[in-house]
Amino acid sequence: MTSFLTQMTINIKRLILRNLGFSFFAVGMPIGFYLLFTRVMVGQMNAQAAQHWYLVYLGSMSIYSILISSIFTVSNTLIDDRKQRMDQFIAVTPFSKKRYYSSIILTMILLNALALLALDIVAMLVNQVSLSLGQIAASIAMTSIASLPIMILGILTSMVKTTSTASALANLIVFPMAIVSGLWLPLSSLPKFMQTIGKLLPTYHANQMITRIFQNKSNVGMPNIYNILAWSVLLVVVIIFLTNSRKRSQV
Amino acid sequence: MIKNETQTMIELKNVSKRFGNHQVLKAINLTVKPGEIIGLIGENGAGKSTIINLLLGLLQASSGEVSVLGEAPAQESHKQKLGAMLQENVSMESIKVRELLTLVRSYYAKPLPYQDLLELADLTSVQAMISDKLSGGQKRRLTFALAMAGDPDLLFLDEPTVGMDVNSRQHFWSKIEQMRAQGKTIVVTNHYLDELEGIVSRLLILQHGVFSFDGTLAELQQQYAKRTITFESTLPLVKVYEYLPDANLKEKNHQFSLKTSDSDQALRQLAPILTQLSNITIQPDSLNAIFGNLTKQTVSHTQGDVQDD
Repeated sequence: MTSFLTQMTINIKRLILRNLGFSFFAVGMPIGFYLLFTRVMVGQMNAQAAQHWYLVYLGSMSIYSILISSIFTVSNTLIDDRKQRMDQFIAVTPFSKKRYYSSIILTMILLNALALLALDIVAMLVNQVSLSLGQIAASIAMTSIASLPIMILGILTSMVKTTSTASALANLIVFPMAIVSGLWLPLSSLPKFMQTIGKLLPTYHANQMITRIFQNKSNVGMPNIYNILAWSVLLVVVIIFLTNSRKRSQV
Repeated sequence: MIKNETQTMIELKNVSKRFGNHQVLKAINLTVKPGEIIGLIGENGAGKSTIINLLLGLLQASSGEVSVLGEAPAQESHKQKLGAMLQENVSMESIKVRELLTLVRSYYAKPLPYQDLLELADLTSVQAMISDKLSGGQKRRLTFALAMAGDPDLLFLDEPTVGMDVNSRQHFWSKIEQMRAQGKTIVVTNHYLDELEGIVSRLLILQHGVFSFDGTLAELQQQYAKRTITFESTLPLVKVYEYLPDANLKEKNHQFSLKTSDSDQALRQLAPILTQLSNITIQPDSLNAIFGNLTKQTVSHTQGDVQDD
């Protein structure tokens, strides 16, 4: 147990406190986008429509923040550990790979919560968005679950053979995924085929769920939960398959 | 502590390893007992690291049986007793030396005290530095400290002193010497045979996928070492040559020298003219020279095989 706590402390230091990339990409960028788009888009809106847009876009940017950190921070951390031989070293110590990955996922949940909190505070201060403590807590709890398949995708990205390809792949996943799942602009403004793809992605479903929480709607949205669970299972299966086939090919 | 002295630390039975079409290990056998310090020697690409990676479970054998502390490699049950310093250095992005050591110590039930670890790897002056910003030699020492964090009974060292300066090397080997006295079992690979002198209790030379030598350093010297005999004499070269017809004899300014695998016999042959010789010295080959000769021998031997075909 102490080893897990120590691992968490170290992860908090390297992933949050000493990670400029986190402050910039996971906190700064979504806040910047939020401020920019809520300024640009509300020009001709009446007060009620504007208030609605402030909430909807807060949901989108929350999920965008989760997407960025869950893919970039997870894959970069794992890639660094691979480059610096930490992963190989851990494999020969009693600290299991399972605990290593879960400590990173737990740290990421904390990191995501901090990024969302910062975004919520900006929304409340700048756009006078009203959110109850219950809504903030529920949205953070919900996104913690919704971030799981995205983090697993981040782990999968880091498994690419060369580390530079892995970084490039992370970029290739994050930005198209953000656009297609309607995080930057409403999904309805995209071509039909993109909308079809978008509606399959976990980020689209996470966005639907967080919007409902922000709008105080009481229905849970089981299809959204099923989608997120299905992606998590599918991606774990892919990781297991890849790991096993690599072990086999090496004999 | 190891309770059962007859326990086997490492066992390889007919272990082969292929990478694609390249056969690195050919049915090798090895048994290591507690307290043995094994020097694993071979040229680049001979398969030294492959053996260590097989024992750690980082690679799977193509065939044969690998066991570590009586179990299959990489079992959670024996990882507490194992330490490994692999060829590549270990560090962690944005994390200080002190923090990394504390982290890795927390992995083990009975870690070495933090101060001991610092002293062991001579890291006291760099403990506040970010681990991935260290120099190559400092990283090598950090990697050593990380391998030692759990106070292992069985330690693997893969080219441990690469990148270390002369002082660090001396410090390092003196620590290994201490561990030998404590009864640790160590498998160490190294390029420089001379560094292993006085450290290893058993030497294994890996060539062409098999152990071409398995024994003590003294046995290696006895078996393969040539000695150089030198002396001064006013006798002409041809005269001395009469007594040593098959020797590789050289002379310059009355300084004679010859290389022989049997110095006793050479001296007996020189006996009749011994009174006319002075300043006789007999110098055994250095370990590096023996290793050089050994690898050359097998190279010419294999070339011979090719020509025979």
